[in-house]
Amino acid sequence: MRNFEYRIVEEAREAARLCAEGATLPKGGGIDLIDRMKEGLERPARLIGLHRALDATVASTLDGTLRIGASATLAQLAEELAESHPSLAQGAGEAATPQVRRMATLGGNLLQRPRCAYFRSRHYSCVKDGGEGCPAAEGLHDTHALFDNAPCSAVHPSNTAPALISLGASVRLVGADSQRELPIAGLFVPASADPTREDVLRPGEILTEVLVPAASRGPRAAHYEVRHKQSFDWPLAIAAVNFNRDQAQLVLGAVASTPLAVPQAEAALRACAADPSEARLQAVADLAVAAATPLPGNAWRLPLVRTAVRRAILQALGLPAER
Amino acid sequence: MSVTRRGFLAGSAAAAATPAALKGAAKSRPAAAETVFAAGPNQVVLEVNGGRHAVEVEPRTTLLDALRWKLGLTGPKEVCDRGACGACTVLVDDRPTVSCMMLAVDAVGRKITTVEGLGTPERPGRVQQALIHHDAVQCGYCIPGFVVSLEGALRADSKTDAAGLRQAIAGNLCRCGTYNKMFEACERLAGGDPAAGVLANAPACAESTGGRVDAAAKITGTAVFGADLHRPGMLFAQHVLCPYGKATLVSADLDTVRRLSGVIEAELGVGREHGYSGAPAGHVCANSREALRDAVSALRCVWEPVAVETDPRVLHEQQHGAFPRNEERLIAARGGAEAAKALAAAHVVMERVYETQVQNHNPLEPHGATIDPTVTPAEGWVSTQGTGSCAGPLAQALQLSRDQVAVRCEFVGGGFGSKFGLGREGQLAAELARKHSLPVRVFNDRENEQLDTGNRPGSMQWMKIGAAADGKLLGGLIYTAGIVGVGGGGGATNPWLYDFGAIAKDHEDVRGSHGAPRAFRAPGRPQGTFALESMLDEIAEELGMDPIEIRLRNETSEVRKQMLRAGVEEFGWSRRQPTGKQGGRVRTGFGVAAGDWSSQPGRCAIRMQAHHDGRVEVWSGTQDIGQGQRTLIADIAADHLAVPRALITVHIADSRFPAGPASGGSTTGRVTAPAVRDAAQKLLDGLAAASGLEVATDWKAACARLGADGLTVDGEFNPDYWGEGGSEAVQFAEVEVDADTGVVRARRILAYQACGLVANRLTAENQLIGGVIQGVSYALFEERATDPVLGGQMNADLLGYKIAGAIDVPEIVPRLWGAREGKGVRSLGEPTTVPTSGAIANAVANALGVRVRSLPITPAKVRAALEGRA
Repeated sequence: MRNFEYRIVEEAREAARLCAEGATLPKGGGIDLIDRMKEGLERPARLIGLHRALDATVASTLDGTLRIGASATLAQLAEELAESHPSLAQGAGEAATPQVRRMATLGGNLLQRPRCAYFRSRHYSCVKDGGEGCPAAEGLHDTHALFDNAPCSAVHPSNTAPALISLGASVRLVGADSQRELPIAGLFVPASADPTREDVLRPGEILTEVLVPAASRGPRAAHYEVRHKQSFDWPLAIAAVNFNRDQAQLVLGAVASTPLAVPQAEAALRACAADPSEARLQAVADLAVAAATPLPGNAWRLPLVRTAVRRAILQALGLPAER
Repeated sequence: MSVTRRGFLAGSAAAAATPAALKGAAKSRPAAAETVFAAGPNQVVLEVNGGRHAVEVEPRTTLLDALRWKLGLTGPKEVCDRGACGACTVLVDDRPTVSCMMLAVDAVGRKITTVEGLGTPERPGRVQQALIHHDAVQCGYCIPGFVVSLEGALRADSKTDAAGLRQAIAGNLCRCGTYNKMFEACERLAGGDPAAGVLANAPACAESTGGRVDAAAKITGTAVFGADLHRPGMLFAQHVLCPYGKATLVSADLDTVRRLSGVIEAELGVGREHGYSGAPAGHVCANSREALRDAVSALRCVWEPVAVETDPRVLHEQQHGAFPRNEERLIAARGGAEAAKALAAAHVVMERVYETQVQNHNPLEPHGATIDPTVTPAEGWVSTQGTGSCAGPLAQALQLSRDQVAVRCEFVGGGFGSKFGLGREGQLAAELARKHSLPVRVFNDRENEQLDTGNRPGSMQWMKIGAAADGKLLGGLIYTAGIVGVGGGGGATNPWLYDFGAIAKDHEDVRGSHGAPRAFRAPGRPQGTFALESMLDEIAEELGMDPIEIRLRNETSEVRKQMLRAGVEEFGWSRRQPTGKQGGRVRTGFGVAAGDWSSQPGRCAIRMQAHHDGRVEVWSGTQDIGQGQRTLIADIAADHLAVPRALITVHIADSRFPAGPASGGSTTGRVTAPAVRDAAQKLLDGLAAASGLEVATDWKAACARLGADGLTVDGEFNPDYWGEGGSEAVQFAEVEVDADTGVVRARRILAYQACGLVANRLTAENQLIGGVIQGVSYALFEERATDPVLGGQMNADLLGYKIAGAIDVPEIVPRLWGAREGKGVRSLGEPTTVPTSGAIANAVANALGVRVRSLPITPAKVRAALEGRA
């Protein structure tokens, strides 16, 4: 890591002001940032520590809205939301390792950069790091995108975003002189729009909190992920569904450059909620993968996506797992 | 509403409705000034293990580096450097945290506890006691991280159950495979049956039931490994390796780097082509860790890679023609006519290709050495499996005579066949040490460690085997190709078990653009066994025979026949369902496979001294890579001398001590034990003569008659104490396969292992369990991932290179077979890992009705097999 100044600030606005100055990056838990700095992918002159500026609590307001400070750790979410927001708790609780979940913040989980081995290697250049082409598309892309995989085929790495989108969450972004709230689905940038970035944050802008509407509180939501290895591995497919208060949302993860909402499945999901027959589950699964454009080496994951969808639905409806 | 933390909390507390919100509000704190740490050195105070320590750190200094290199707390280890392995875990305000991913300045004002703060060898803490009790340790490198993770889980919730504790170590990797011993310790910590584990096994012990003599040193983090050493004035160096299959190093900013503060030297082969992934292109040396890292990143190497072929089949075609070879060629070769006759006479002929991957060793302590030429004799702390074999090369590199150097490796963080000799790392350290007359440390970072420190070569194995209607194997043709990178002579040993009848076989090496293989725990055997055990099951299936039956028909070992029959009962083989008849999504399969090992007598010298007060000291130049060498020597000596083990002190791992075998070929214990008995017998004889007493009746009285120098004897390998017999093995595996996702989970393994005399039940069982776990990891997860275009390794870390963790390992029942038979110790290191992948592959095929003929058995391959694409 190149030497840098480290400034721990007290206010998000101040962090935003400093980060807008260039060669400066914000640091939450640091898990992803330190990794990239060790690899030499980032060489900031200054880091801005956010942990004092950003709230780390998970709390509900009177109207039932859930507010999560961006500094809340994945471990906190897994522990504190298991009853009220099970899909988010599951997504947070299955990420990485116990130690990492205790350090990694929700903000960092949403804004971390993709895990593509080519992007992460200083020995390869690609369209995402400002170079050309996608070495993964010609090379190893087993775990790469099944949808929206050009010009970059990396998948979005967040384990919490699929659940949050399905819950209709929004994020609050703070700039030096601005503040805005976005539906979380609007936070992410598809590779086809701009492969060099994964989020819409403006220079310096800081994600300060995540809000989950009251209507999404409740047990009828689930996050299901398929992993090769059970102790520490990245998912091969994620499905998050939300049936609380007559909602019917499905979001896929680990399959595209952004978490991928499947709004076209809403009617089919509602049908499942009424009667989760095999045919209806399959109908949702069909819709989930209908638009897929897999690469030669990763089409085998489509059935896994379908499976994750079926199982997430059953889990959210409180039905026993398929055997 | 304000968006600062304080503002937010004020607002949210007012609106709070739930206890969670109130809990948050309670954390509100008064405003504090902004804190700034300037780029460069900062004086901070860290509160570690109850003490306050002023240290100078830079903002970029990780907590791990501060603890290890500033405070000398080397219990936390650097292994993956990316938060993936947990070896660096420390408690931060009582919460387990990976210290390699935390800035030291972020730890200011927080309570840091390392493994050293949780107990000492004399007074181990609760977790340490439990791990010691259950021998949940082998090489010891990862263990401090496990201790801290478990302690943290208990501090968070003292009522955590065993399953919760198991989850708490899901972020800790153990390469030797001690997980199941840790699960026993978790049971104990969770207040479970204290008779679980070791005590339950005690009645079956052949000899010692004492623990591992160095367990406390390892589990409390006080054991010093070569990578932990920090000598005054020490220089740090590392190699720069070619990251592609073939590339020219066009340029590097050497002038800039040489001018950087702290850089001692930087040498690179600029303008040259470097011929494989991991090829050494040069090195950088600096006077601190930070300066070395700065120098490496400032090099700005510009490589010009060229496309290389990496597909083994294409490489085979280029080098040897199409794979598999034309069978006429095999038939024309020696034994070919008989093989062809056997195939012609066969009731069933099965032709199949089996493939295995390139597997990296990944010992958690990387290859390396710390060499100090400023002391007398010059010391080389080498992470090695062969203390003695390093001394000559070290002396030569330092331009000293052999008696002017001491190679020490009192603790070695794992060795699985790749750590013989001084190695490229030790060689560089020695050359720099000589040149600069300073201590030099060269230990690979994880990327260098993955690229070129050996591997288990991959293989493609074509088999065409004929069998009679009763399952008798008649013979056939076998052609194997080894995927050996830039090395040669490896791949698969096939066939080597069962009577396969008249076999004609041939082998070729397929050369490629990755680093050369080195021996890896039973070289060639797991590859070959996976293929031949799969073939046996395929023939059995074709004939409608039970897998046990076809094995009994073709087995040449009476011991393994007994194991097969015993396993039918103990494993519950009758519950095995017919292959391919299961519906449903989650399917269960049973499989079985065999293994063996043989090793030869070798030279080993032992010095043993009895003291006036009855104490005994033993010296051996052999080393402990986790097998329990100190323990074995102490137990054998105590047994032969008929004295309590507490009287015996063992000194090992110093090249000045009497020479013993390198730890390869599963010979260390087997060859050492007869030498220890020989020395012990000489000591008894000498003591009887010197004291005029019957030693057996009163050891202390006899010793009391010795002079101040006591009595010293030299023992050597004595064939009278050699343990005849093989290391037959049979393993039964149960797996659960999720047909919809292709995910395989190993659920249960019963491992029978012939081992002659068990010197120490705990360490022997542990080694058996470790072999099985490495086999599971090989069968299901591990694989070097190579970029098919430029030939670089895309998982040269522990984030992408998958090794089985605590949640991935099955229940394992270790059965030391015929433990009381025979007077000598037999081989345990290698045979234990041989059968596992074959047993798992057969279990998967049994569950699914389709077979994955390629390791590792990944979800992609399972799905392909189910979809008929295999």
